[in-house]
Amino acid sequence: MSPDALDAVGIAAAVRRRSASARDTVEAALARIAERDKALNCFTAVLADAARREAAAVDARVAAGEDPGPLAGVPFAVKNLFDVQGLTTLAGSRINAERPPAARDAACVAALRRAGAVLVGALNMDEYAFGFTTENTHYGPTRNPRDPERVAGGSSGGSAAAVAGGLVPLTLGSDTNGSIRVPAALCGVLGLKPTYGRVSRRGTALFAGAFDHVGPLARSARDLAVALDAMQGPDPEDPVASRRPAAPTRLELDRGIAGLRVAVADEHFARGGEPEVFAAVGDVARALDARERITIAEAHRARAAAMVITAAEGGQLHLADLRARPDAFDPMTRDRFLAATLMPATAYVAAQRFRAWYRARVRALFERVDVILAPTTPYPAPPIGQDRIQVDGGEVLMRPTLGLFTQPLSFIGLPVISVPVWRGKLPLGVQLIGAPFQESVLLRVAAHLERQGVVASPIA
Amino acid sequence: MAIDPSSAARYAEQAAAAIGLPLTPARMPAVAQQLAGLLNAAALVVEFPLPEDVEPAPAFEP
Amino acid sequence: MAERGAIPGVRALLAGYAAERLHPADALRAAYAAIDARGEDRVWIHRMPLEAALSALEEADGRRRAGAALPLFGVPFAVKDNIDVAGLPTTAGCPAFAYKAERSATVVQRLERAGAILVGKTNLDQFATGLVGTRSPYGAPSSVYDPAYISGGSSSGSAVAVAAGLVAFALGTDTAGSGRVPAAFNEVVGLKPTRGLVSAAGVVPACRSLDCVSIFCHDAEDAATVLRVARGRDPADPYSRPPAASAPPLGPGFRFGVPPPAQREFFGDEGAARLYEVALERLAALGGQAVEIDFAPFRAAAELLYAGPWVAERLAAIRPFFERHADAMDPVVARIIGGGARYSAADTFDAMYRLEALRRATEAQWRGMDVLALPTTGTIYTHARIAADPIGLNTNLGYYTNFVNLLDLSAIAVPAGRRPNGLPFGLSLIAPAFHDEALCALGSAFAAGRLGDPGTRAAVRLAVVGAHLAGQPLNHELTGRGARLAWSGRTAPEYRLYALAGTNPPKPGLVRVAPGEGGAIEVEVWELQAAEFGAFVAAVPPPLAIGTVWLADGSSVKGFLCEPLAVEGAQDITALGAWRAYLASRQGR
Repeated sequence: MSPDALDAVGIAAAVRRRSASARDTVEAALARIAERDKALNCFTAVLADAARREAAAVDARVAAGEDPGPLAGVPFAVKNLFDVQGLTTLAGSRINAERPPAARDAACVAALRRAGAVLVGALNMDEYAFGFTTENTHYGPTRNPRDPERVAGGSSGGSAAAVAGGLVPLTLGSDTNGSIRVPAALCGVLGLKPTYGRVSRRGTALFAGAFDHVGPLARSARDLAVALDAMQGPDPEDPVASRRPAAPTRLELDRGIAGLRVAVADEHFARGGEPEVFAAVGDVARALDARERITIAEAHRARAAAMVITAAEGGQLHLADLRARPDAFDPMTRDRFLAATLMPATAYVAAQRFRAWYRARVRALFERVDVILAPTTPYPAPPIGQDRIQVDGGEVLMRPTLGLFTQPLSFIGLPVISVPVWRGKLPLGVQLIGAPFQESVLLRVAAHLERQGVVASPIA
Repeated sequence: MAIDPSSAARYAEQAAAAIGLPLTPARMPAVAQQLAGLLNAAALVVEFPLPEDVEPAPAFEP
Repeated sequence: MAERGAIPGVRALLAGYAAERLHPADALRAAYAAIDARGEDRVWIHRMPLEAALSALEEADGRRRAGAALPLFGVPFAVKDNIDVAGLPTTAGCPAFAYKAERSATVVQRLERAGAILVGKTNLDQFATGLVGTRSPYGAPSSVYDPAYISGGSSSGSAVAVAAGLVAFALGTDTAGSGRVPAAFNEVVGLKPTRGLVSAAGVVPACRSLDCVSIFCHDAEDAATVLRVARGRDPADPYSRPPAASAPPLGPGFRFGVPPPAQREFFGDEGAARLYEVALERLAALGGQAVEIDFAPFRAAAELLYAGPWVAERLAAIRPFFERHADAMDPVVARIIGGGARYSAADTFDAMYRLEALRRATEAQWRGMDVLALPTTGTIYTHARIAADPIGLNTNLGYYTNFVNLLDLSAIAVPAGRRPNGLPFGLSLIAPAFHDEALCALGSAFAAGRLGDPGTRAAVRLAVVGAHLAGQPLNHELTGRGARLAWSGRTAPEYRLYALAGTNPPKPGLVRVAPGEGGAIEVEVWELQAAEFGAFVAAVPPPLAIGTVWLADGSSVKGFLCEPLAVEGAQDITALGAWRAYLASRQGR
């Protein structure tokens, strides 16, 4: 078995016990990137020399008998909106390419490096994270490794496709309205959007600060857990970082699901999608023996409010460039950004107030259940370049509709894992939704589903 | 739709001028289309009756 | 049962994992806690740190997730310290001899590849020379039943580690009886496989032409489970033998050879003599037929091992070291091995002729029996008595074991009751080469009090090729019924595999064809209880059926087949060789 077929924890274990070297592992990842990325277009920068140096340093630590960290020698890559020292942070744009290289790693990048992981590059995304498909005009679309004619999802499309294609076992993405979960679902990998404030965003290009989250994508629940544990915890340099102490999840993983109350979300989360996505939720529900159904009331309005806040914050963030040089924007985002700058303040404040109200309502649901199941996207990966799609007998706009089931959840910062379920050729995503700061519960459920064979993420 | 692209276009023209955003006529139809969608989302939120004591929850510490 | 540690047998562990009653990481932690709780028991020469064992588990789990079938996933084991483990010193019980192994012995690699987790390396009589377990600078372990009594050797630590429940199985080596005598003294099973069946590459030789890697387990079925992973032709071991068809299990009416009372030797141990009679009665109660044989030629062969040029082979194994460092050795071991220098090459040929003649004489005996049933040892000794007569009493312990490898036989030592003093007695079942699995089956039958019969066996082995494979969507139908992965490999090259249309989840169909017209298809053999098998079969949807599936090794099990009608028009995926390969080919590339 080649080491690049292993998940991140498997690789780290092999490196720690010297059955593989970090150098060979990173070299294999670089070779795989060289072999496959021309077709997939995940990477916007490959840091081969730095990665080789860092891998050698990991091997040296192992040889010296030092603890090389829980992710020793694991090649990883990050969405190009995270600061990487020495690299210009593009955030998917051409405009930011003019900026100087970052002086310092983003907090999450530094955390994974401290854990022994080796950064091999930066990954493609929708411009300024404003999209669900990674059809980036400047840098080209990222292709879905399960079917290269289809979108990878977005905005962390490079992050999901790089994992699904086996280029690297672990990546970081960001999720404002679904940007980790949607590509994870469409590419058939696991994606964790932690609780809002759980992982520091220091050094991360903002989109809509009210909902911006940082999280990992991988092919196993244990990889998500180890990555989360490396990154989570308070950070005075992120104004919205939670002060709660880190709550390690790795050792919780194997506890099983006894005693957990799981329910399936109905109403908003049970319509507007293709039958197979709801069938995938049913597969997961059966494996968890979840028979309850639960209603997240006003979820459609929560999605609308999320759109309002995203537009107001995102539009304002880029107003100066939109005034000065709108033509420098990606045609895929330009009109939406221009429109977004015109959001009335009254709607923004109403949406913020609604958010507080909705949060209280959803909190009450978690008195009754521990985990809620919902589809991640209304349909599997659509073809690249397609504007409209038939869903459930009607026709809708393809790109915005991808966030139908994810936006009402990131809106209030709930932790969610999208897990891949297979019913046909293309993967489907199912969201495991938890109460704030209950990531370990979700990871336990994901690990259980893996053991049951319901969730799997083979390399494409 | 409560707000159609043409009424959105009228609003956009005035609002863009107010914040100094150059909106060329060529660009206007597509922007108006997007804005109509956003304003309809906004209407869905604004029309929802909330108790007066519900405050936003921003993280701001002086 | 004496007090046991945390770790049950191999199958029990795997069943616990499959049913999610127990997690492998917790089992490993429990093993280490049990080791710590025993304190200084002189079992270990080197222990892997717990963190390293957990890392090994994580790596194995990674391979499992990547699609590898790991039939011993998460099973903790130990190896005798004359077997190489990469990165660790191999001492063979002699610190002055120690070297750091570059790579692991082939058998260790095979077990680790199957997911077994190495916990440490165990104590032994130096250079595997002895049957007592006292000839070690690392101290002498004791029988788990009485600290005054020896553990037996030379695989002393491995036998105790299993008996004390510290690991689920352990590897020893066996030249004169080192894999059987300590099994008897600690009431575990010791399987001494056919010579060359398990690679000895990476094992410090004692008598290289006779050495076998042996397996200690809680029961004979576990030993067979481990053997199926451990065995295999190895180009790195010139003594490795191509696998022969393993002999079928013995049926009712099997003939077991017994020496006449005059040829039995218990060294005054009346309790052992009575237990031997009881064991023979138990064999008869299984449907066996006792046959009196002439034990004399077997004994004569046994005498050759230490009173002939095979002692010179022990010297050959370590001659450069011996010539410079004999003073750094255990004095008894040095005396024995040094004795090898007095034999000439001519003596060696004389002994070989003598052995061939004795082999002919024993062949005559084998015509009248299927299995030879002997005490594993005539008696057991205290540490004090061994100290007083270290060589003479050691010789007594080999009375029933020393001839087995010289005569190219397979053997299994199984527990057979306790003496009045509470110490266990062992029965050895011995058969010609390549009867290993048949001996395991007979050992299981002896423990259970009834012969295994394919129709009434408690467990059914079921071959799966598609959606029931580990990690596939319907695997939970097996694990949910307590089934465990027993074997993975390929079918006989007589099958074609089809992707059936319109099945959800997608399923393949396996159809047997004429030899030469099919391929060898990747298969997993799962074992489930007969009662569960019925419920499982009842749920098999058409066009699938349960029939007989022939495996690459020539054996057969129950398994999924497909009605030939259903594969008309279905995609023939035989060329891919495996359902998983087909699934991978469909996902995007």
